[in-house]
Amino acid sequence: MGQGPSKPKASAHDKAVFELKKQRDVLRKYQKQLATVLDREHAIAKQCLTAGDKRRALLALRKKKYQEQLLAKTDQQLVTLEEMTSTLEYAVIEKEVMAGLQQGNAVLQALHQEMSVEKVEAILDETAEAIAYQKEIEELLGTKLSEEDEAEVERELAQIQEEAALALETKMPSVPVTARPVAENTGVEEEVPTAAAAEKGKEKKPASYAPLPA
Amino acid sequence: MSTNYAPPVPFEFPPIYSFPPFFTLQPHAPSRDKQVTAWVDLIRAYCTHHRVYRLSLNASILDLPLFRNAALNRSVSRDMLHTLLTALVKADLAEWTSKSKTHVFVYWKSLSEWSDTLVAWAKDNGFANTVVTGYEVRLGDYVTDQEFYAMDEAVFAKVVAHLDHQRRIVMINPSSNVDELGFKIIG
Repeated sequence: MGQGPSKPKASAHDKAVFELKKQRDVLRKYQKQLATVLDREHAIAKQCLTAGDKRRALLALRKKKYQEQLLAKTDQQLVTLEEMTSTLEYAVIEKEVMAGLQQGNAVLQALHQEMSVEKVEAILDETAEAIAYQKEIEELLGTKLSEEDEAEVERELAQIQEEAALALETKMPSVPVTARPVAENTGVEEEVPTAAAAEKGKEKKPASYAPLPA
Repeated sequence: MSTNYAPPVPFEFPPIYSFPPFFTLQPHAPSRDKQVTAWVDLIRAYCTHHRVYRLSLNASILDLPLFRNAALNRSVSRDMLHTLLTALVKADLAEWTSKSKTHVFVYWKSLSEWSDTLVAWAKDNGFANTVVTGYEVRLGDYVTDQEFYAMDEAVFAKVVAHLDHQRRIVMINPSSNVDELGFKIIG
């Protein structure tokens, strides 16, 4: 089965940790062996005592004592080994943290490089130029637009004036009607002022009587 | 068989174990097939319970309660044992240790199941991605309560080889001495 990621290699660090752990195993095995030896010496001492051989019993006990000391020593060595192993493993973690920090720093630097002061200034300048250009265009277009606007405004003005004039004219006829309450008006006379106003066109009449023809 | 493991509760034999003809290979083929299947199941259950990693055709193996029912005074013959072991191998529950076909490794857990067990243990107990020794995994102080504690050396070597083949471990120190194997279980 050839699939899967490429085979990871054992690092020197792994080998070092392994050597330490192997030594630890050797010590553990030795301890187990010592423990059985201890038990045996104890049994021998007991046996010798019951057999009345005090000298041999003492010897066995001395041996046992010595083995116990060895056991204590190996315990100490085991602790030292474990400490060393932990230190090594922790060093790897520290290394990884360092690598992480370094990577972050590198990225940050790269980002800073991209955002150099000169570049920022250049960009700002360019932006300012662009804005100025835009303004120029706007002004150019703006004046043209206002000319057109002007024409329209004038047209509108003329229209309003015309409407005002018309409104004024339509009101006019009514003025004489009410203004001459005393005069002995006939229907003929009444037509005179309207006729006078009619000079401006027939528009006023539809304007005044608008509701009917519309 | 060789194991120092003492199960917490005695193995409970199935009722068929108390059936005297069970210990004699049946001449009638269909009955024999059924009988052999029942035996394979029984051997597997027994080996799982007692954590037996090896069976052999030695005379001593026939003294094992599995193959000798003292109450019935019946035991399996050597020939029958050979038939049973062959069936076990055929069912992928065992493998002949050599071409002489006198011993089998009993895989009451297959190699890939054992591999999963080891990886799960490493992940659950903080042993993933750290260097471990064969001795530590097989006989260490942290694995005494594990199913694979004191696993047969040869089977253990096979499991490690299987893991290595699957690239689930980084081999640091290959060794024919399983205690001195050094590897990192990738978690």
